[in-house]
Amino acid sequence: MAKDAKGAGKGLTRREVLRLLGGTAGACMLSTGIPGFGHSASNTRPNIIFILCDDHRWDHLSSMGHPFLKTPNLDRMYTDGVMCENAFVTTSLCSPSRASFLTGQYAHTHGVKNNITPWNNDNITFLEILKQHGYDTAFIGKWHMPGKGLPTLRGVDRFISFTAQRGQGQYYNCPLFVDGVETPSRKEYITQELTDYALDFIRQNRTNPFCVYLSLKAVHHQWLPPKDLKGIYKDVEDLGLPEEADNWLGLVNNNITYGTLGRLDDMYRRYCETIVSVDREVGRVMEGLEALRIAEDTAVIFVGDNGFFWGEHRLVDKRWAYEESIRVPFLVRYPRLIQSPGRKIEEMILNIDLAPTVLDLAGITPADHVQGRSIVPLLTSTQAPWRTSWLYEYYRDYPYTVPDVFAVRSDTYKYIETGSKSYPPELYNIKEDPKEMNNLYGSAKAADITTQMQKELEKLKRETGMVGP
Amino acid sequence: MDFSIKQKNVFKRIVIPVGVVVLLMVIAINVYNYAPTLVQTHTGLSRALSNISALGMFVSIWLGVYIAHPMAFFAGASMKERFVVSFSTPVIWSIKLLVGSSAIYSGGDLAFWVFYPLITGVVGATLLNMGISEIICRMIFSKRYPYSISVLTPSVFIIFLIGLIIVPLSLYKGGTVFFYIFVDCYTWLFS
Repeated sequence: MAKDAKGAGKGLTRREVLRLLGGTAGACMLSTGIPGFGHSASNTRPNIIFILCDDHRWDHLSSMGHPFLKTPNLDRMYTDGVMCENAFVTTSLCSPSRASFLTGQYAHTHGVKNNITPWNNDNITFLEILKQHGYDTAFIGKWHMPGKGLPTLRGVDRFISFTAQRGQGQYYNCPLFVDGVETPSRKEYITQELTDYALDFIRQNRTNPFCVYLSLKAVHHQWLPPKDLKGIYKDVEDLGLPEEADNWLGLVNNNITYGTLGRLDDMYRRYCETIVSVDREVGRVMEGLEALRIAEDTAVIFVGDNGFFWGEHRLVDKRWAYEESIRVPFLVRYPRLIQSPGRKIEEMILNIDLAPTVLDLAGITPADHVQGRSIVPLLTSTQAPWRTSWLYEYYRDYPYTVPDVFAVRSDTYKYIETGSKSYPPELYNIKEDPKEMNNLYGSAKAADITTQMQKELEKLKRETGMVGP
Repeated sequence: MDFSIKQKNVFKRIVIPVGVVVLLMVIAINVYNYAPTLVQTHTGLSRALSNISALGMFVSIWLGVYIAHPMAFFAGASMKERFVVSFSTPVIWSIKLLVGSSAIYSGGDLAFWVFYPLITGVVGATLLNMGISEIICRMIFSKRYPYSISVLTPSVFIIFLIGLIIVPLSLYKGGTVFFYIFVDCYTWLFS
């Protein structure tokens, strides 16, 4: 996969994309003057806002057909841009996934294998590279990578984060570290607080383009919405939870270790209410851009750091390689670039693709250490050759009772292995069995495909440097 | 026995009280696991069984003391025996958690799992409940029988106090504080 990432088979070369970007932006400048001057508008290099939501699974958007959840602002990102409906994380766990977004690398490469193994500050983030290329950069929000406190993050002009609850932060009155200085919260609710800081940064007068990494605490465990949204879904009778789920699921199957004391229905309602608050803050960001007249010059990307089970497979939380856990929302709005807005991209996009994509948007060639690939060809063309399979990895995260998991997912099949004899391999035909209820592993008719997927898994492990050649 | 009550045989002092709560727990767990198989054909029945059996699980594990302890108490069980009886389902449940964990962890990792907040939580809750049950049983005993016994002996007080300390510590902020301390300790010790 990494070898494929070096631009092979792209619909447009980086140079062509840059030419397109420059031409479009230039045309805009000529036709409209220089809107929003002082906020880096109409630059050939776009402003970039990356919004990372926590535990937000792919199908929890109203535009994905959710039965009652209303997310008008995220839906607008889709209608104005694209929705990558087959977006995944290579590790379904906060810290490794976050490190993958920042570095464009697999967990076994950047080293943050779980929520305990520390962040190596020698890792190079896309923010650092953007800074080297003249961007104003800010990291605002949840860092949540193991290590002693917050790192001295290179390449950011602004670093605002929190350390409460082992870096998870808290929904209400969360103390922040603003450029290393402990600062009381200005707003009661964390998502509003972080958005305010992001808007403050965006509104600064500048000549450089900017990149804001807005990393939300929501919608992580405890699922506490702001007070005005609390209870908005309390009267919803049919929550649409899976048949195999019941209200007490959080108390059995070791699910209780994920902090799921209480009724599943209640927790799920709070989860959805908290998503609404995220949607509202995304709307504020977009309004802020429009007020500055730079919405057209700004690429806004919204992604989840991993999915979440709400009773599927009688599980709660994430980590496992099933779709609910590994699949995330991935929306891109960038009117200057995106061809045919309002479309869905079916290709399999990964969290490790973010860093090279952002760099590509900024006209920077990703270095060799980046293992993902830019999705810009998919934004500019409706037909671009793409990966046909990818590697999933999960490493034990004490004290959670999930073994090491390695999987390969193709368009049609998913093969899963674990590091424990208690959990035998699994094989699913995702097209015919999207809920992954019928394990084909061991059946005679699936013998060939099993062998094929096992070989593919080993190949991907070698290609990504997980194992030696 | 630390006061005058006719001591019944070991069967009535220990086996029956333990058997009742363990049986309740086993039945509840099995019914709970069976209930989803009915969800497509008998949705209402499946949900009802889930709810009832979940309640049964919770009562037998976290509140089973209030069933087993009085039975042992009034059968003349000693304090040690009452202790064993009170901890029967919490210990079995904790072992079940540890066995589940042993598929993933071994050695020191597994040993440290003993301090998992849920396990310390159920130990604390059992101590607290046992202390409360002990006090209630002693009050009932004093009213029922013409013996004068102390309601709050030092041992009962200590059991109650330890439980009273552990439970709020475990549950503070939904248990998250204790959990993060547990993970920090693990990280410090093992990584």
